[in-house]
Amino acid sequence: MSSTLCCSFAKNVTLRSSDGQTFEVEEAAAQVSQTIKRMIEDGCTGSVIPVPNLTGPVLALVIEYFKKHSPPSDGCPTALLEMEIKDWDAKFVAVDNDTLLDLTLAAHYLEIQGLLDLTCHRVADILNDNSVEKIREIFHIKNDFTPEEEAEERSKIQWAFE
Amino acid sequence: MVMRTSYLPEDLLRDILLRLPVKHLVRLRLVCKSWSTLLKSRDFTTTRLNRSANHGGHLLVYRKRCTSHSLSLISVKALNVAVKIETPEKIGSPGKGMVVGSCNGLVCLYNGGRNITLWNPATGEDKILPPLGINPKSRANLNSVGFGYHLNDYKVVRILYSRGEPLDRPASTQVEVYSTSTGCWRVFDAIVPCFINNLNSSVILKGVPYWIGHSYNTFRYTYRECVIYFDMGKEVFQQMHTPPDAEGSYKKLGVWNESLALIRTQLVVSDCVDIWAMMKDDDGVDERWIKVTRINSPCPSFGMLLGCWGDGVLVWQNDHNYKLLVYDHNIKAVNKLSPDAGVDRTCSHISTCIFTYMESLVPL
Repeated sequence: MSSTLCCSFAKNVTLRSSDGQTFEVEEAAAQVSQTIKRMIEDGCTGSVIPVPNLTGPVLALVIEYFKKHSPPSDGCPTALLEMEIKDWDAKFVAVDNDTLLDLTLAAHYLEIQGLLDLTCHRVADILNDNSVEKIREIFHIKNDFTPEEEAEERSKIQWAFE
Repeated sequence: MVMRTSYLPEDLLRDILLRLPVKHLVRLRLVCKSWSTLLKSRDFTTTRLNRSANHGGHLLVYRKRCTSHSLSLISVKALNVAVKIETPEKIGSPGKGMVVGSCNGLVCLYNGGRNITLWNPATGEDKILPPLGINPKSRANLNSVGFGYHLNDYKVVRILYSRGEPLDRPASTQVEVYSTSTGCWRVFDAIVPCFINNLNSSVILKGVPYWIGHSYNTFRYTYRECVIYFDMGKEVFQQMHTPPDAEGSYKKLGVWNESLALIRTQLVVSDCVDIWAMMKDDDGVDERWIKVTRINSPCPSFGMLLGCWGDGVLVWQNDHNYKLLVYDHNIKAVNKLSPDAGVDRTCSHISTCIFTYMESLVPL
């Protein structure tokens, strides 16, 4: 079968997280990230590729995503496969808020467009569904309005809270 | 505990926030100062507006009966009624009030007297303009109002014709223009090249209001139709001819793929409409009408055509039950809607005005 043929040619790269963990992954899969793709093209493949913005657990998750989204060996994904990947994606981002934000940042740094769309969409849902106070908590944001400023601002847009 | 990144980089945050409906964005101004600054910035407002435009936008439908009126939005993509909007009091009574037009998410309302209000339904902001400078009672009641913008300056133009002036030459007419940058009305005498008998402009395209006007030829005792628009930058009226082969029929203005369109319905056979679009050459100087298509009504003898918008959405109103027939020419999809069902059934007539609308954060 063609997939066995493909795997016999598969070339691996090693990625290293900010906390020094290393992961081996197929080069074709890692190239789902535009950032890594550029590094490989620039000739960084000989040694370990550093991914300083991601911790080990987050990089491990991203590699799971790479594996699921690596281009199929025969080059033409079937509709069934696409459906399956869509389901998998939905489960993949159904994580706690901190992990979701980590994945969003990872997709941003590594330029993984599919994952970025997926995570941004989830984050947008969170912003839609939660109160301002809850949003500050989720995003670890300090409220830097004085109580007077906040009250004034709130009175201008009271209708938006109804 | 691992140190967390407690913030998202601004470009990433921007990308996420741009996906949210305007109503939620208004609420999120309260999260912190940096979010508030980002959400109120002109750059963010403009990008959000372009995003609304690229998503097809809405049609704002204003329907008026004897004692009630209503506003609702039709989704251009889904051809259904997306949401009903609470009609603001500032529009005045159903008898006199009207919607002047809508652009960049702002809606201009005229109460029929001396008050005009600009309103952003998505952010809930509104601004009552200073009373109109010319009291309509001191002149004739024939007036027309237009809304538009030049750069970031939103403007309202009002034309007042004097009763009894001969219509055979461009009448010297009093005009007043309000601009959001100055915050006041400027009254001046202007030459209006032809007579406009609509209260509002049916089309606002790229900030320019257009009307169908009439000029009278004393030698032939005939009226000639023309298209008139108000240049919001230079604050002058300009005139364009209608396509020569569109003579002798019922005409409406519309929008076709971001160009001004002229729609002709045959008076006898009203089930097909011809559409011309105003094409400009690259430098935008040479303009000419090109006949783009002929469209057959998906429901023959349904009623009166109200116009066309977007890249091929046409709306008809039924003469008997006042239902609207919304038709997307590109995908040949059709939907019958009654956006204000159940309101004021005693009234036998409904007049409907439709404008393009896209939600925006444009401040007032």
